[in-house]
Amino acid sequence: MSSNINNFKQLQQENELLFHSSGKSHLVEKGIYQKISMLQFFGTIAELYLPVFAETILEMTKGNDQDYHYSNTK
Amino acid sequence: MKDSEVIQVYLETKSPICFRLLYQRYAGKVYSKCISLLKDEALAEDATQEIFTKIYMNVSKFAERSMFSTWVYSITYNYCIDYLRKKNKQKDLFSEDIEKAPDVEDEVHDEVLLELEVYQLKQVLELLPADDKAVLLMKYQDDLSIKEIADALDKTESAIKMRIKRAKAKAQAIREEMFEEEVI
Repeated sequence: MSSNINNFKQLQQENELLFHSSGKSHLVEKGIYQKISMLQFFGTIAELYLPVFAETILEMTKGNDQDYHYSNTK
Repeated sequence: MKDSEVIQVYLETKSPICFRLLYQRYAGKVYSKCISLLKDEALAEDATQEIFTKIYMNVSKFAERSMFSTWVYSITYNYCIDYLRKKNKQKDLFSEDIEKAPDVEDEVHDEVLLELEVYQLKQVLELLPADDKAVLLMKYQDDLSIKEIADALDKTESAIKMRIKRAKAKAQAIREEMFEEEVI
């Protein structure tokens, strides 16, 4: 493993400098935190309400199964 | 503070300062790779955001089997390659057919690429397919070993060796065509 500054690394340094000096770094960072907050919010919602939805869906499916069974055996 | 120490503190405290530190260390590098592969500033910014969101969501799963930097670069390259594959810009990205193609006869010496001026290298990379560019960046920019590249891209070491050999040959051909008068 070489740690010399070759032209590939110089190119990376140029791109890094552009990213930080143009203010893009701050905008991207802000975007990350907004996205994480949104994901966490939906995660919490899903955690809170998913068991309720699942229970409702199970109840509905159970009813349908019985209806289906009843209609088939009738 | 080493990356592994920052991650350890972050996992224990969930302090945003730790994540910010990792962002400051790697965001520029991730952006640089994204712009090299995606060739579009806006796409590279979006990709950097997506990649760091992935890192944030998965940092607890980072098992320290590799260095943190290798893990970050692996996520970065795979994100960009998947993006290009989905967009069909590179239909044959890392396809097996290319790996089975006839071997390149002559090995191109590293110096052929490493002696290029930065502006020349930038132009050569611009014309290389993304998969070739990815392996060259991993080898010469990130100093990853063949095994690390193979692990990151989920390929065999022999496939990666072949890919690097071909990528160097393509880069040399582009260099000769573009800078014929400047090549001594």
